[in-house]
Amino acid sequence: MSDAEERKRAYRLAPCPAYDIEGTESWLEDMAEKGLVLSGDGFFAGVACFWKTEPRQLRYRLEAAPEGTGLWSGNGGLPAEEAVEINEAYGWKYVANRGQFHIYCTDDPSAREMHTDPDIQALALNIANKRARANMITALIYFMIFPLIHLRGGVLLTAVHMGSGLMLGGLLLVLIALGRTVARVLHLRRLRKRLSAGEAPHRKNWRRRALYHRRSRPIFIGLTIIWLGFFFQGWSNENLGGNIMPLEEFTGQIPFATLADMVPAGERAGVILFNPWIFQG
Amino acid sequence: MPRKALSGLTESMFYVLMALCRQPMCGIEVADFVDTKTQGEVRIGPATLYTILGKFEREKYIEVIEVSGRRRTYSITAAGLGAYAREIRRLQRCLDDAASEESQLGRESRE
Repeated sequence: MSDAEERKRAYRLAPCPAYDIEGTESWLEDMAEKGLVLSGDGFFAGVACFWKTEPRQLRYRLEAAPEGTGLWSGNGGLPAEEAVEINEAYGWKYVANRGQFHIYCTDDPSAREMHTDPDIQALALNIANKRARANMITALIYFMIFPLIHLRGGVLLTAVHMGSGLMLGGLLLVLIALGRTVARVLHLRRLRKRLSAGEAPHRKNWRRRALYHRRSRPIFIGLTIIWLGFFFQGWSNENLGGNIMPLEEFTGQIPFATLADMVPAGERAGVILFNPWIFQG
Repeated sequence: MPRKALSGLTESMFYVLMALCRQPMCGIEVADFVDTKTQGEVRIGPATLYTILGKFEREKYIEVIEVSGRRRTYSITAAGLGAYAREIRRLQRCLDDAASEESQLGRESRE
């Protein structure tokens, strides 16, 4: 990429979570009015990549993805070609993904709304929500619970071995992640109810909770990375023998009785082993 | 747990089935048919249309009979025809109820 192209890019931290459809749509439209148009690189870890252009009036819509949006999912996370064609026929161009949503954009003010039946939109949201919940549970099992259980034969043993502070930190992170999942499910459920009631919400004041979201997300990601660092350090010490030290290098007090504590001063262990007095009682 | 079947059709769903009752069509042709048929009264958005086609395909109300590039042509199945006929009967019942209520009101006002 040339320097000129690099200069045209701009990065902004999203002011709302991925599941906040109205918030994301409103924010992207406001950014376009300031001359920042979402690029095809889209979002990564909550940061959006924009092209710097002239201020424009654009409409953005987030469409719940019928299939997964991950790179390893079907079609590489892109929308189906048929969906892209139908949307393009009505003036909507696919731009990027965010979370479980495909982002479409149009500069045609007369372009037909992507969703004209709130019941059907609620149906699409439901599919995306179910998949997001399943992904979250799978991730929790594979990245946190499964390693913990298999590391030392059980959560309690792991807690004793790894340190209760680390385990408590992990527990807090899991609870925060679960809390965020619950918040997402509740948010989408409320949205589905509004859609079922015939509302078609697309505008929202995203500034109200922007500061909270922009601070809480990096903090959560940072804490998770720190926790994983400590966890894998403990894990590698355990597996690579990092916790093992030759006895002669240990300078502290050994926390259990040794042979020296049981043998009278000056005697050798070998003498005791063959002392018939011991066996005769 | 078994998947919940469709309990009813929305207006958009009904018109999509109506379009495919006439002949096999691709998505854009379905939307054009609905626009023409309803003279613009019912307008199906592209995401709504795509979601309906996906749902109907999973419910086996329709099936893909041809893929040409990005375009897929759909045909209605026996299950789809059954759902369409049920919806017509339900709507007919609604109309009959409304008509009988209207005639009842007319009698009462004359008396």
